[in-house]
Amino acid sequence: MKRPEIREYEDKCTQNYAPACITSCPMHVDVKTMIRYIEKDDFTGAVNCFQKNIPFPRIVSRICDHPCQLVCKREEIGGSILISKLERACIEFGELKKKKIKPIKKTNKKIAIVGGGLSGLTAALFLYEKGYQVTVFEKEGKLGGRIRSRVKDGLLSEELMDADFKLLDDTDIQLRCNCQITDIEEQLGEIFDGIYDSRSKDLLIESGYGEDSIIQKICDGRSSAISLDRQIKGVSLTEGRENEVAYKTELYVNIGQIEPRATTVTPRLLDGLTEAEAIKEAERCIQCECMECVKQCKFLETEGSYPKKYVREIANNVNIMMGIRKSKNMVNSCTLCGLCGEICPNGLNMADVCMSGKVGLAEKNHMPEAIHDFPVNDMLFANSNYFKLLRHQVGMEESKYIFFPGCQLGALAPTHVLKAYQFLTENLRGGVGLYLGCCGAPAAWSGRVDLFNQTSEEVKDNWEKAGKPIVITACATCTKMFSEQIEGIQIESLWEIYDSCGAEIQGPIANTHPVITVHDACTARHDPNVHKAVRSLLKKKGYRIEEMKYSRDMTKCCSFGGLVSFTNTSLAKEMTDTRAMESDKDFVVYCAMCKERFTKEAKSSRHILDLIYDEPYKSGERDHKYIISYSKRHENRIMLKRKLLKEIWGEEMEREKEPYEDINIKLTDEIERIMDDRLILVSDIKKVIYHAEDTGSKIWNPNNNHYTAKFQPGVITYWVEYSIEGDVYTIYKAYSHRLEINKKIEENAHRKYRL
Amino acid sequence: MKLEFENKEGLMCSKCRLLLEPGKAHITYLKSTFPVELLTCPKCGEVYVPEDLALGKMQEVEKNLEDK
Repeated sequence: MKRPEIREYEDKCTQNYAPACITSCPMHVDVKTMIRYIEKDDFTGAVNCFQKNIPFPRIVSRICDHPCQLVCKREEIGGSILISKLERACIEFGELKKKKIKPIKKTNKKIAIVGGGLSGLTAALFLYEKGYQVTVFEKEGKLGGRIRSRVKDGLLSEELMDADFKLLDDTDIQLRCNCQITDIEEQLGEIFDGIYDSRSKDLLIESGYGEDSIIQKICDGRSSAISLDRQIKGVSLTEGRENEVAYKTELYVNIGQIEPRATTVTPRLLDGLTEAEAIKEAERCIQCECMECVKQCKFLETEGSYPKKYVREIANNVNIMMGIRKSKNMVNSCTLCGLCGEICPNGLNMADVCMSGKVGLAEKNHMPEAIHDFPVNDMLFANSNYFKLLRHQVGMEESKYIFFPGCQLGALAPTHVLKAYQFLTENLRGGVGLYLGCCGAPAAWSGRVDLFNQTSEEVKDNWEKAGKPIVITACATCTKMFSEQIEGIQIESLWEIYDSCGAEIQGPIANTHPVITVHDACTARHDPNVHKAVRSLLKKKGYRIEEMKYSRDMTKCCSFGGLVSFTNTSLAKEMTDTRAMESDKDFVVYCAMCKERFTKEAKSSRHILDLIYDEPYKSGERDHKYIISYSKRHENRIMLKRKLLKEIWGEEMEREKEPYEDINIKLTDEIERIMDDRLILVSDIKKVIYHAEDTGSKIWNPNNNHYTAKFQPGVITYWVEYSIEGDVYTIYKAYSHRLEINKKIEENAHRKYRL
Repeated sequence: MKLEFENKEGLMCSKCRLLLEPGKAHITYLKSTFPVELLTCPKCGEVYVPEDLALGKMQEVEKNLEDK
């Protein structure tokens, strides 16, 4: 990932931007944290927070004009938080720390401050801390300037002011009261290296709350002091000062879901709040933040932070030479569904970031192939002669259309493919060819660009060979992959064809509930025609649709996307469960893998083809038809190809049998379940046994007469414990590992691990 | 996990008809190679990895190496 690309992604996430109450305060008091402390009944923590940016906290807490309250997000939902009153409560109930200001590094430079009001004194303290020798000239006999007049309002007292100005007593700032400066140049010019006249605006950054704003006065003092310091040092007066004074925040805060809540405090002009009132008022604070995408995505939530941080971590992990790459797990836990991009007000799509991370890691050989070995091999199987098939419609020399059902529908519901193909050939004119295979999504999702390009090229070649027909897909992922990879390809979904051909569809199937909900496939997010066709079909069928909040372009992923169900099984389960709970109605899906995921996690769901072809089921019941082992899915694909070839084209399926296929094994259901959890296929087991029996390389346990053997056909080593009775091999254990074990020790083996 | 190096079950190399003994093998993964001690055939070097080792310590090592 390149630096500008990272920056572009990062800049879209506003989560770490300060809320409006902080940015509208010229001194940027951390109001959010301060209120959090009050809410926890920690007034000392709160006052420390307040005091950090405010040199005269007692005074400010009483007479600040609180611009923060005008922009408080609570305003629209119950009224602004009484921030000013809370600041006063901090002072009254918290323990104010005695501040001592020490110069960082003393210099001989002398500074004159004209005016001992809040602005001048703030400037004096700032410059003193910077090491200057500071003298303040005040025309009156006391410090404070115009705020002295506020005592008569009853909000401020001489004692409070004096207590705040005590801070100056512990410094070496020279205070010259009763000293009026009428001609700065003449009176001070030759003695001082720098002069700040608090009556003038020469050194100010305009931020504009006007003459009467107390907080602005303090800000003016600080910002003028910064300018003076820079002027003396000869550095830029403007560089890096963009957000020094009050500014408008870009933080996005959605208040749509927040209940209105008015203050329970009766306003009393002169009095402060009680402790209990302050806590109650603090509880109303919504603690402004964005987190919009995180709230809706289990992956983003589980990582414990927010996208801006993830972007940096992923980029760092791709770009570092050495060290730990923890984001590997992160990029492999994103379903690439893109919902975050739809939610984000600036369109930050973590799918793009994670995909870029995956590709970057794979390119640098930091993405172990073993992580995605199973789904990638499944793709290779679907594109091998076991399944791959390309034919024009029987009796035709050309195809106006070609049906590409995808690799998973054929594996999970092969009869649906047969029926759908029959429907297409009966209803469409001009020839409907058939193309069985995989679009290459597993290669793309594992970051293996070369393999994905190779697969896409092959699909493109076959499509061209078929005469560039209109492709009819039954899988939204295939649609997405093809439209992104193959220029000029025209694609229609099977659902649109069913809908437009007026399939003979009648009322709901017996025992089903007439009200259902549609779980849209995340890869069809931007395909409104598909959303429309699916709903139209269901309505024709007599179902009433109760939409979920997150549907159509805002749909969520079932957890298959990005291969998360292989790389982070516990998170995938959580994602599926969370989605399943978003409606108590039966889900209708139109993607085979959505069906598989929901069935696996016990959510009552139906594939739209189940409803079109009236497959009976009971509402709320798990659909056992779709609980199929990975091995059985391979068998289903082979069976489908054989059946299609035989029944439609009158051909026998020709393929050379692998020698291990004839091994006769016996498995219990429990072993088969364990094998599926461990992503071990029956064919893997047969390969192990064949290899062991062929070479004699196996371990014998004399106690039970079991053999244990291993075989490594690719990056995974498979182990099987079995016994032999005649020509039947009974399986007791099947397990695997990614480490490669070699018999002999290399002399220069450089690291030692004790297992 | 501590590997029990004793061959309590009397596991034998089927090919050589010899009892397995604690011996050395080496493991390679993601450009790292390191020696390990496993039950092996003293003659042909055939190794034995029990299920709990494959799913326990070996998975941990895999994870550590994959994070690099």
